[in-house]
Amino acid sequence: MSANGKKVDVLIVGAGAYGLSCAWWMARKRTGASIMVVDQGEFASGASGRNGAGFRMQWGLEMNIRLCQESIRFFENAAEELDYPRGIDLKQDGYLVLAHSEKAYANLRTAVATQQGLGVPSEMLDADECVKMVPALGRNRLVGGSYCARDGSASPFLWLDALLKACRREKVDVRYGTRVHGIRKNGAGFSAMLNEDEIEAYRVLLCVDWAAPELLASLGVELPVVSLPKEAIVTVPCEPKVRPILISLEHHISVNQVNRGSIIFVVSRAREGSEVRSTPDFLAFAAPRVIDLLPGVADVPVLRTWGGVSSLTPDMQPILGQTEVEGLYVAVSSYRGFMTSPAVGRMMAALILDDDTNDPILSKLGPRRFQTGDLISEPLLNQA
Amino acid sequence: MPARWIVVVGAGPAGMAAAIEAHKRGCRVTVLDEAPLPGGQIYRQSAAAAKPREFAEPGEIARKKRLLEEFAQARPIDYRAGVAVYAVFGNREVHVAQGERTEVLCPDAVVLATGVRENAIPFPGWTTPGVMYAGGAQAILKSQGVLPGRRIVVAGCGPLPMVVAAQMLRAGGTVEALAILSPMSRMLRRLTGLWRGREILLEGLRYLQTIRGAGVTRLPRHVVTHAIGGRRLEAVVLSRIGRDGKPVRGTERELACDLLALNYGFTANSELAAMAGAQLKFERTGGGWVPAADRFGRTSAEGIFVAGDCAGLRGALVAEAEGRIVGAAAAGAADLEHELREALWRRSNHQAFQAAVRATFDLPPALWSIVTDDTIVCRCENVKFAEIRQAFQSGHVTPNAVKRNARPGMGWCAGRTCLRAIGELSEFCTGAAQAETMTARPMARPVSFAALSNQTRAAS
Amino acid sequence: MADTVQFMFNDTPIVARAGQSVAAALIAAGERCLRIDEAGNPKGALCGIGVCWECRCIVNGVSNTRACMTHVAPGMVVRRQVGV
Repeated sequence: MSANGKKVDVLIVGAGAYGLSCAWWMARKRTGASIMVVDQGEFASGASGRNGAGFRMQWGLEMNIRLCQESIRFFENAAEELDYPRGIDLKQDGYLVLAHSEKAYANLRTAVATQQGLGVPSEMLDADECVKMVPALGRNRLVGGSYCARDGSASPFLWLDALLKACRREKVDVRYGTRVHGIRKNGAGFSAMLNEDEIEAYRVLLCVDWAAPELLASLGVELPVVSLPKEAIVTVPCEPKVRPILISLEHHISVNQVNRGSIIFVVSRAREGSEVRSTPDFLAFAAPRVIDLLPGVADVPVLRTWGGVSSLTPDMQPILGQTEVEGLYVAVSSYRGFMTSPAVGRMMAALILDDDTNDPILSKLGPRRFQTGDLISEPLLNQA
Repeated sequence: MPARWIVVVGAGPAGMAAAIEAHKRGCRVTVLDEAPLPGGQIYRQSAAAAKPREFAEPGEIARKKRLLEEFAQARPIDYRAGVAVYAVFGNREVHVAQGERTEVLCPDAVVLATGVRENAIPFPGWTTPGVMYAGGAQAILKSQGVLPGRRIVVAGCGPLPMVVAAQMLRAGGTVEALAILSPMSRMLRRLTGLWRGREILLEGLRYLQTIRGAGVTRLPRHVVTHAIGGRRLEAVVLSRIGRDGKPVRGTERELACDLLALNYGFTANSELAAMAGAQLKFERTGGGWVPAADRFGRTSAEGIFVAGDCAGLRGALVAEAEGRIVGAAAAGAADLEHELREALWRRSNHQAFQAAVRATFDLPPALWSIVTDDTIVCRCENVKFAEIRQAFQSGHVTPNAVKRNARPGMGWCAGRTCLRAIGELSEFCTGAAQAETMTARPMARPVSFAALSNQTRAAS
Repeated sequence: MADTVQFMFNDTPIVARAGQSVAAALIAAGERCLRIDEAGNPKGALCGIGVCWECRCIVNGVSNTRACMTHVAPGMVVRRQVGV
């Protein structure tokens, strides 16, 4: 179906977790606004379909803790909220953040105090308690960790499918295989070139993560976002070895054994580019690190590897808000789009459709912070 | 200057011939193969101390013997049996696992001669032990000397079911029925091809004589729609196919058996070529998604060559001729047209016959209606057709999208058993031609973390 | 006799010919079911050539071993794999 000459109230570029969640929250307001979501790939083909599937409330900053508290409450009720009876394979078997140095352990202790103050049921564990919880763990340099039983994982594919179906029920026009070649200002709104068609949009929201700077350049907007390639490994299904999700800040590895029994490892290493193919030297890089972290999985066969790309901002925090061009918005996840998408969708919908600029979290995460220098410092950062 | 290093993956007719020709031209040659002995599927050898009897035609046995001897005499070739190539990258790195260690080979050229695997159309009960691919059942007989069933039903299309039925009879089995979907008479439309393949055709006629002589019930235009049994197969249900390609109600017949040998054609093992970045093209009766290659086996990925069935179904004779051509090309032979005139002529000669054979793999699309909602399509992940159909209905029609949505292809076999069916079912259900196949990623075979961290590298 | 091999399948002794695969030796002994998968489906050899992984079973304590790609050896202990 051609879109040429079509006019929409909101054009969302990117049908990942942020794009679809923003679209659904906007549509459910039933304001009559027409919403179109376009994605150059197919369903779940971007970073939202290639991540480690975990979510956690264990952050160091109140802002991040609250974002995830709200999102996890939504995940818990997603089947009902999105009328998706199959559910999203929610698994709340806990999340263990590991520290392999005294300094990292002290950081965790401070963060847990903040979390507990906000009602997060997290706690500190020493090395023995960690190994008792996950016998496959190695003791090399392990000092301890923090643990929260309500953190966990869900299926990103089912989450996206639930959002997609809910969007389509609300008459959101979601189009895959549709590339945006350029956006320009047109009167009070914008014109966007989609494949062969030109459409008009009153407001535009970019949910394309690391690809945002390229689209913004033609509008004279600069955004400090770069791509961060990551690679993941999935093993054959095996007996339960890793009940909680694990993350090691030192190894840059996150570990999630899904319901099926397969163990997913997301491994980061410093490298540039936006190549989503597996790299030749990745397995030799990752395998010894995986064994150092979890000697108990050494004999488990690897079934598949895949590459993904997430976004990285200077302070490693999301960029959410209106750019200096009126009506042009961005939502850049900085590698946690999946786990924050429910709350971010709600906040962006309120910002764009209700012009609600009073949200305390959004006001900190706007793109202007890079000009004013109000960068954010999150102590529990990881790159995995 | 050190000798040019060629790594050949697969030791069937194409791989052996490629290795022989590269070796002849002074190259250093490494051959990697998963089986314990060279030969591939068609020239499979037995590892048994006492060699089992051969049930193939003398012509095929002679061709096998000659090529195996030539391969054995080509020394030195670094031939490695029982190894698994789990990845090939565009930079010509070949990653291979052997036991608890892995090695990365960085040769000057890679020849992929990885052959084909068999196809099935899934139906209720096809996971019952005793339902096998026809070639798989044949492998048990050929290399193990074990008759894989006593009461056997053979079904499918193309020439393999006939060959397998005859060999099972010669080994003392009882063939309860031979159900062929597409008439072999389709080959008659290509008389030139038949003339050029007369040697193979005569072997086929002798297999047919065996079947006639045994008085086997032949059920043309019949398809197996159900398999019945628990821990062992007890019976199958066959139905006649109507003009519309669907089973005709009222024509069901139940046959008691303990082995169902099935072959609905072949799929090229093109995953390693795709992983290395070679472009693929779709050939429905020739192996599905196959690497696009020029007449010397060069793919779109630099230094990555393909030969034999993995580049599209060709049969053993074409595969051997092509292996010689591609092996010489990978070795960097200067005047290929002249030097390879004989092999090029032989290949084109046999190819005409193969074109006639391919016509017998052309199945009516409506045959896919035998896949019921509760039929398991992905055997590794137990994904039933209903879930796949729902994914199609939600707009997830490509194999990648269906995989993300319903998990088929995410299990142990990495999609090699169900991928073809997913593509065909997508086409049957949505009416849209298949635009792409599942993205090929490491691992082509599962390998443990321990083996992956115990890795060495070898460069040329 | 040197060219026969005895091995165990689920506590039953099986005599096979040396060089045979576990899958072939078990089929010759009338045993087709090598695995019960996580959904309770009995599974046996399908492709016979190492492609489909349907015949995986437990050999000398190592699970997920392909019966069609593994040769029998004297004293080998093979078990039907259940649940995975």
